[in-house]
Amino acid sequence: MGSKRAWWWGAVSTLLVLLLLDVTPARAQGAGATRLLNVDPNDWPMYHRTYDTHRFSPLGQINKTNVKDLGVAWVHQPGAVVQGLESTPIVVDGVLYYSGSYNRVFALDGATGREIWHYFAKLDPVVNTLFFQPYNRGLAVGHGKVFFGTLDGRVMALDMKTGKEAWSTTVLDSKKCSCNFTGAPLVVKDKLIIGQTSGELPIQGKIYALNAANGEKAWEFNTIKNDPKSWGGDSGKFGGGGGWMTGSYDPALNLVYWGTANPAPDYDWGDARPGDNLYTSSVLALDPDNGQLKWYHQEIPHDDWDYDAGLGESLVLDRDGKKLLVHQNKSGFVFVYDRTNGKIQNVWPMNHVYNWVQRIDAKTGELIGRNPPRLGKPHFICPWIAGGRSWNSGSYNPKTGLWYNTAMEVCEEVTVEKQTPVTEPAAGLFFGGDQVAKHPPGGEAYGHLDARDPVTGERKWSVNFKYPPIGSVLSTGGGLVVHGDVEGVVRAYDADSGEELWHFRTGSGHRGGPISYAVNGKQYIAVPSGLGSLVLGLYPALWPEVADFPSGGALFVFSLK
Amino acid sequence: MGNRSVRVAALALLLATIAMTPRAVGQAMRQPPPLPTTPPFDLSDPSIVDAGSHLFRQTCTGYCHGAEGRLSRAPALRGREFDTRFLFQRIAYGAPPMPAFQTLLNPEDIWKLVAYIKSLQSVKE
Repeated sequence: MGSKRAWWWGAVSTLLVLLLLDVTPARAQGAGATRLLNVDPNDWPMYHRTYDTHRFSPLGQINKTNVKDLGVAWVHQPGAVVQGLESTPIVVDGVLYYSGSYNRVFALDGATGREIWHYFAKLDPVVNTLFFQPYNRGLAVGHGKVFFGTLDGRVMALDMKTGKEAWSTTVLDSKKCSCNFTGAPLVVKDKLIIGQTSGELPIQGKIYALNAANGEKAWEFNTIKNDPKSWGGDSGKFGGGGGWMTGSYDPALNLVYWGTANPAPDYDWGDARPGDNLYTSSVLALDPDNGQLKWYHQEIPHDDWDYDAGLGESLVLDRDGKKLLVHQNKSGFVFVYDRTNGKIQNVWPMNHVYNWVQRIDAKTGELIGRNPPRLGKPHFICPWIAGGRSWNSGSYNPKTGLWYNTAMEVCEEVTVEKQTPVTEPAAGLFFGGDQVAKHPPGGEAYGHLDARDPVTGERKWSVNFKYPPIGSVLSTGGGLVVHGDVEGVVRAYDADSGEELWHFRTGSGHRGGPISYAVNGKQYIAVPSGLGSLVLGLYPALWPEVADFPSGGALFVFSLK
Repeated sequence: MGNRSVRVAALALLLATIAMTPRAVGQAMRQPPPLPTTPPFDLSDPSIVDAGSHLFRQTCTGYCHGAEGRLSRAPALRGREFDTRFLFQRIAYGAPPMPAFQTLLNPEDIWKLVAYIKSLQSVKE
């Protein structure tokens, strides 16, 4: 009798603990917000895998010794291949979710690739008139739903199990603003956070939070500050900005870190937008509950080069008792912050070739010796408009303490041209000039994958590429770095030495994000392959053969044979 | 009764309209406006070509057709002969991933772009 009673008490208290921990089987299936805080080693449940945006999988079954035995487990083709496959898949409880062009969303058995469901968004034809399309960079999951932003300005939620539409909220008037959503949302507690495209448009770009349960808008943050000192005349009305990629989150500080895009017009002919143009080309620390700005740092005051700060990862890491945030913008410089207050701890260059500034003060972040293109003759600038790095992400391995990150050593010739912003009947592109890619002085343009200390910038190893790479990086607990190049070869490197240990030719270049996950005790590495991207359109000016590099779109999944 | 008939007819028309409304990109495009058959000005007029070159730099950008229509991932435009009507139609309606410019540019501006692109056909490099 006593033992039966004890059993009941045990069962009841276990249930209570599970409820408190938000890990009952039903909730686990739905990837509740708690599971996003304590990520299962087998899963990859958000765009950067974890809130700290490390893009690191702790799995070590595939390691330096046996990676040579890696082979294709299955391949999935999303169809409708236009502008390549730019997304990073998500995996929860053995189900892989990913998106292709035109907001085509798939749920697949992670072990076999068998389709569980698919959802093809019915998009407004306005999409065909937009500059930023038809690619999509990823999804978010949580609260039993799969979330994504659409090319026609909506945010949508699907039921994770069935793929049926749960809700759809129109956030942007894409017919008017010519803006949309291409980046993956971020689930934080009961909200979904996502930023819009707008850096090249004469509009005001915003970051939004929606209620994850029903899609109701919770708050919005305007990246164009209402301040005549920051935006002279009416230039702020056309200021661009926005935050089109996915930020990071520190649960302990309850802060979301989000990079913002460049001001519009991209180039300033002299008086296009007087002032520092807050909060463009900045890092924001926002309260996810209400969107209040807690701190910010504008990395590129009055951005003259389109050195967008809305890119890639915003690494959350601790070192020597300091809570740090490591963030890179398109200038190629890496900013290290105290993430509690935004104070600069260090600034270091990822790129070897630059002339847009002489240097950046490592203590204050001040730009010293600015070299802005202006109206008149063509102006030679390094790095080019695609950036010292594009929007693709690096990966931080906490075991090696190294950040594996790519760089593009390419310059450009900018011709600035005065332009009147067009907002009717729809917003038109607002670049304020044009550019053509150029080789750096005294050498050929190239790219590299580096292993560096993310705080000091100290380089441990480097691998060079003829064509600057534009794919994201994965690092794993097996001591591997996985990365695909523009020519269509994915490689695994030794995380300590950079030695190539394995490669596979997928047949089309890499622009998306490789991930790793496990199902039933077996580790997989999933690699999106499919060349495409606006940035790639800049390559043929230097490498004519790239014009003919094959497009594509396929998800390759590898496992040990 | 007469009012009811009108309401039924209106409802039927509305349903038919909804049924005919394009729903998905790639599957149905918006109905194109009538295609102008003749340009409103001489396409070889240097001032029109110059205006077209400004529009080209603002809308076709180094990301797409390359500077001055040089090689890019999108088709190169220099030294190539294009049918005039084809150019107008392609700019107006697009061809994914090239955007359709019919809602962003008025027909006159599209003709200026046509004039500029036509001017590139005799360029040798």
